[in-house]
Amino acid sequence: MNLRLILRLLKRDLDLGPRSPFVIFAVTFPLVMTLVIQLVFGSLLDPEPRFGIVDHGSSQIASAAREVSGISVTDVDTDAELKQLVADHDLDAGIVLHDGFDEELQAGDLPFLGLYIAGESLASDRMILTEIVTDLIRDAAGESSDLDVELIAVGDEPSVPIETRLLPFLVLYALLIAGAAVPALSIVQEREKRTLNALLITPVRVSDVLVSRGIMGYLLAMIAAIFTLALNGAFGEHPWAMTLILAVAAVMAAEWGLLMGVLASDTNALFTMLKTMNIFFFGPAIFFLFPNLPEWIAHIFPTYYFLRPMFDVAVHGASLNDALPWLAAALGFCLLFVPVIGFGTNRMRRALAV
Amino acid sequence: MTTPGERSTLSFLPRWSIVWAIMRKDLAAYTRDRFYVLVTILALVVYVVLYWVLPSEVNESIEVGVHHSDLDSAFEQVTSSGTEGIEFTEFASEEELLSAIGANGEDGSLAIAISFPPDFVTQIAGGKDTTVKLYVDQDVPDEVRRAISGFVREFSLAIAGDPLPVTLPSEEEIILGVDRAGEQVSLREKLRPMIAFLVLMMETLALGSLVAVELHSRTLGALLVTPLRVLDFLTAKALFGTLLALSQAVFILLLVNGFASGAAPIFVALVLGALLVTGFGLISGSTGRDFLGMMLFGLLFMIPLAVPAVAVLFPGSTSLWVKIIPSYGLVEIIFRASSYQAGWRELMPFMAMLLGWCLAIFGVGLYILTRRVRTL
Repeated sequence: MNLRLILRLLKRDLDLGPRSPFVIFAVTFPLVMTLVIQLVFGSLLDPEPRFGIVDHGSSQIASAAREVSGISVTDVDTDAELKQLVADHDLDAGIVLHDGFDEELQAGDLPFLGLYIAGESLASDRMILTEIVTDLIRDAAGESSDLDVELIAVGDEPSVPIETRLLPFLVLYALLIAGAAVPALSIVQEREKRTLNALLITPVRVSDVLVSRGIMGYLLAMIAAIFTLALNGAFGEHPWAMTLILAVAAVMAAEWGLLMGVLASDTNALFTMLKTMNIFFFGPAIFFLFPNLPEWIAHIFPTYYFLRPMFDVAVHGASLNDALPWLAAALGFCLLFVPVIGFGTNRMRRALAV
Repeated sequence: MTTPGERSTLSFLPRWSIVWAIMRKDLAAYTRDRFYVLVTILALVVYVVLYWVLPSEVNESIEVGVHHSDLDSAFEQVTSSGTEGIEFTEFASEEELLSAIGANGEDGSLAIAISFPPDFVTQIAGGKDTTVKLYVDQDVPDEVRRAISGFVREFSLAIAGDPLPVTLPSEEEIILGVDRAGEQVSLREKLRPMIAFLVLMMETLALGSLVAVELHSRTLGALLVTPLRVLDFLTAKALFGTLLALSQAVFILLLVNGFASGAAPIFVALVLGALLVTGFGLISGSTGRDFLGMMLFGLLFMIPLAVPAVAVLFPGSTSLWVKIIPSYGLVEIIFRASSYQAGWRELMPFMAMLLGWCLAIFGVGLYILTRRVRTL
């Protein structure tokens, strides 16, 4: 191997990479997937009730409503605008508080409350918003109740939300597309276009090409994985531990890419490989999505050994010490991949007749 | 002397035998492409499974377990008057209630439970301090906890004869828009336009790929030396793309019960939608890039075009910028006709909008491809 040649090859790849639509796709993919998951599982399946307020005075009900957690409160300027927003179901419900509402309420004058509910809103959202409004009115009226509602929490810890449980899938996708698919496709396309043959007539050796592609895959994997975790706010309390985990994960992804690149003879074969063999890459993510599945099965998959510490650091606040045994095992798998890539490289050399 | 490309402008009608031959060739090429066949079959299966797996109804109520001993008439009054958004299940004893909520370590069937003390009415009526236990699972959101606490408080005040100290509008004035309580459109139904749209767009990629391959490998240049004219080529590609997209969209809508109501307008919308995506297919195919380049170029169209289908999934009115996206009319027709049984009159503005976009995009697609072919 010639370090100078490897660096020149890498520089060329990095120069040309941003022009490739696939590299652009690989880097922007985490953003698109994060948005989709946040939209679908964040606001679509579990939306917050949306509440509008027109406050013509400075009612304490309006300021108290803004403090209520779990509902989305919008300040609206006019009564007509509020009615339109509610009628269009841009809000689930809304109230109009006229000037002096609180004073009339406290004086027991039964002030008029403009309450509007969207016909298309869910019954549960109607109930939640009207009960909260009722509660706020009682508080503003200064009514004391003889009743005490004792809240008793039961069950285990709150379950991890589905968008968090999908995090391993997101990171694996980012690693696979950027760290594995890009270098693999790059190797395969060089073979298809026969530029690899041309390159090998020069002092460049197959190992130089593969190492430069591996480094490119590693760098892209790191960028995509860091980007994905940052977008999802999932670096946890120990960002350096997470960075180290990602560094190991990126090595495995780049190795996976090299392996596919040397084994696939053309683009079709590579895509078939991506579709069929990736169960080994994505398998463990299923165990995070469905925590009731027997987790010992996940130990069969190499990617589990960086996904587990990554998830623990991101979600459960695990530290670097907790992650180290897992990372040692993951690095062990990375070492095991080296002779397999060597076997694939020899096979490719024979096919290229080099 | 004229070039083969120029020859095409001299005739206005395609030669159907040649068109048919190209279409047969394209069909063979399409079915030979393992990638598209696999993706198409996989997508059709996934869409259909996804549709039928999603819930067919919207659960609008929060289930609450209740145990009480002296509230029979008061509680019956509350439940019979219809407490919108809450579904009560009564339990004879507190032990049964605790078991249902999973407070004894077992898996519970309920997430919220209210336990009223034995002498609740007497104490409230007598103005004495009393405590109601509200059991909530850790996963119950804050706003629901607060709302149920509010309900309990309001219930006790109602027993004590203390109404809410405000004047409310009449019930007819409170509800704005069509009242769909109990008749909400399920996520499954909202997903229907998205499924039809994605299937149509998938064929954009397939058609784009077929066109791009002809340009990329310059086989079209060779073909134009034969009696084939540009007009024949364009007609064949446009027809093939439209029929391919239409047949799959109709097939998948049949599988997801999409023609149960408003079949005629939905079918017309699909025909126009197929023409629209064929236009996009001709544009992306005319780039003449390789497989990956064409696919990613096609995605540039797909992402913005998918916005109206995604917008349907969310409540509320659609922004103006979404309404000017070409696929908006198609999505609205499928959604309104299949979910709200909208008739021709209501759908006509969307149909006109779709037709306009369809003619424009299809025309642009033909124009760009014609220009591209002439450069060969």
